[in-house]
Amino acid sequence: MKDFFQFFLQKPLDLKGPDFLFYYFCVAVAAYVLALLLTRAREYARPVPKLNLTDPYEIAYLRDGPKEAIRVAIVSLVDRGLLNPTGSMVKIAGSSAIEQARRPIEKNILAMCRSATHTDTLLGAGPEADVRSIYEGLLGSHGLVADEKAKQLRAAICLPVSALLALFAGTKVFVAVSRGRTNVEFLVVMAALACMAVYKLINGHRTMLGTSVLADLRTMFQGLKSRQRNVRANSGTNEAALLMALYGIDSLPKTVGAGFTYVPALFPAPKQAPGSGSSNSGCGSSCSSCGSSCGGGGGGCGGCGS
Amino acid sequence: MSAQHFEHFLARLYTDEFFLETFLSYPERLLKNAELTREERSALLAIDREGLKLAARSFRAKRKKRESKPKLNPLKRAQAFFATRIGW
Amino acid sequence: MRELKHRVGLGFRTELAPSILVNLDSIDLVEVMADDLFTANEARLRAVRTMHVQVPVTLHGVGLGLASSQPVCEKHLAKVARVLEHTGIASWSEHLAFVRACEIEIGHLAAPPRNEATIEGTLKNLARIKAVCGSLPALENVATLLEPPGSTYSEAEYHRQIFRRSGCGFLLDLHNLFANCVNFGRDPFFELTQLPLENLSGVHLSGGHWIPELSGAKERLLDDHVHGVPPEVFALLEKLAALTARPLDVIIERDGSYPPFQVLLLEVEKARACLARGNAKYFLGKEPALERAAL
Repeated sequence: MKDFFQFFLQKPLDLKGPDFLFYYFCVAVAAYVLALLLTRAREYARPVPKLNLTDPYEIAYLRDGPKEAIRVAIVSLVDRGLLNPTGSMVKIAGSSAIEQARRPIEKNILAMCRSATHTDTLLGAGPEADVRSIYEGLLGSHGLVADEKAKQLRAAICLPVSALLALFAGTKVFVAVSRGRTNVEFLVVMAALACMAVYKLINGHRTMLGTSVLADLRTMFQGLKSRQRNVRANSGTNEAALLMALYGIDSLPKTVGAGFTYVPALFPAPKQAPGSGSSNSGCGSSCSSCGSSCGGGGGGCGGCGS
Repeated sequence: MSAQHFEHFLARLYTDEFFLETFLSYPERLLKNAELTREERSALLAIDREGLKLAARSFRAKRKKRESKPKLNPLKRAQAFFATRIGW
Repeated sequence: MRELKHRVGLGFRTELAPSILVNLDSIDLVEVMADDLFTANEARLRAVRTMHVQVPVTLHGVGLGLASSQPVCEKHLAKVARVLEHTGIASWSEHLAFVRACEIEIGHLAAPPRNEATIEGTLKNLARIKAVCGSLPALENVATLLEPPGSTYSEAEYHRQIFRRSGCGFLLDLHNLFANCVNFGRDPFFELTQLPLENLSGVHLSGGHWIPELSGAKERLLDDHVHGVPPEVFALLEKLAALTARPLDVIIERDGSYPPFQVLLLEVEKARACLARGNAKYFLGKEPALERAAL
């Protein structure tokens, strides 16, 4: 242990090859953890907000962004008989359907589906921007998704850390080359990876508070998850929409009796937006930011059982 | 304290079927050796026997229901153990 | 006429959770069982804190057994303190019952002998609870199938003694009151007027069913929490609102045999209507002059 600490008290630029790589690795990990903790401290300083739990699209947006909110809305509208699916095409079920829409996102989708429309069109840039304008401001103001302000704060922390890591590696490369050593490839790759990892913290969809609140929502709705196999189409309740919002469209039961067999055909090629995680992941940017719970483990708050 | 002995006696009546049957059949005999005051013995001799039987049955059903609840698996039990002691 | 801000809600159960959470515009508060959180990890406790932001949460314990001449179990008390600390929820309640004696666990809430020794023991336990948890719980009256032997106080006088000497809030379970009265030949409406309503902080409503005595001669009402709230209990709620002008937290308890959620929401609405009608009678002076519990 004494040797371990003494190792770090040496002049790092005098270390040779593998020793320096190990030294740099430790510094990079420490820098990453520091950036993480500073970001966490900033993002957790906000209080937990009061959410609109009756809006499943807000929850879906929190989980995985605008495209996911649109997917949940499409399935929800089909489930309520306001959209008719044919493979991956959907069409409004009658002119009065728009009046039955409860949310702006639903009205927008129904308005686009007066003739048969491919779901890819509904997931395009235009509709995505519309949905973003509905929910980004709201969830951003609560500190749950990384809006521009949050990204700027993250950049203020992460960019200097990345820059220092790059500078440290760059200085060693300069010293090595000036001493006639050219085998610096490993160091360059390691430095690039370290800087990218720190930089990636900036672009996560959710803030750490948002990830924590999502985990809490999953815990609160654990009862729904445990009976997901019993969720049925056309039930007249919000259960299917909430299940999708919290856990993704894949969480809908796949049995014929459940009534959701049209869902895989609606979205034929799974689309994974880079850097925003899969539809079932609990963490947007980085799972190490989730703290104690990523997937909402543990049961709900049950009764006294008397 | 006699009050604690009295509560203990009641708890036995509520939870021990054999003790209850013995009390209902031979109350004086059972009370003879109990560490109770004269007033407490009189109170027990005058107890509402129907109510006592119903209460004991109700408590038995509650205990059975509690025991039939699925227990935490060993991993979750360990997690709960540490959670309550270390405050994770 | 003054309008009091009552809060009416439901007991939070895993089976009801999704429905409760999406109907928060119809529910003012929820009651979570504290004992269910004893083995909860930090993530689950944090979820309760998050829920407390969405809707007011009150915690309800069942296992302390503080109404006893014996000291409360320190381990159990430590668990309660941990839950209170980690959830940050200030409002909590427990029962005026004993649940264990020495090493014997009764398995549920037993009515304690209503005498001075139990009252003294209860007060000592409350002092210990305050020292460990930092606050006192509201105390709930319990139903019993058996008039506790060794009692020297009536049920009403026992409660008056406890609340006058402890300063705790009174969580009045109206179905428990009703069941005890019908089982032992008392008028629940009169009994209500004898209780320490000046300490009232909350109300529980629930249901039960009639069970035959083992001799088959008569029936007794068992408070089981798996039936709807009967009309008599709603009538008691209206009477209570006519006797007191304090805002009340009313919780409807249901622990099983869950009906469609709309039925529970109807009970919530019914409770609100009873409170409104009762308060109207209070402010119009329609109740006979009684020792009223005013703000």
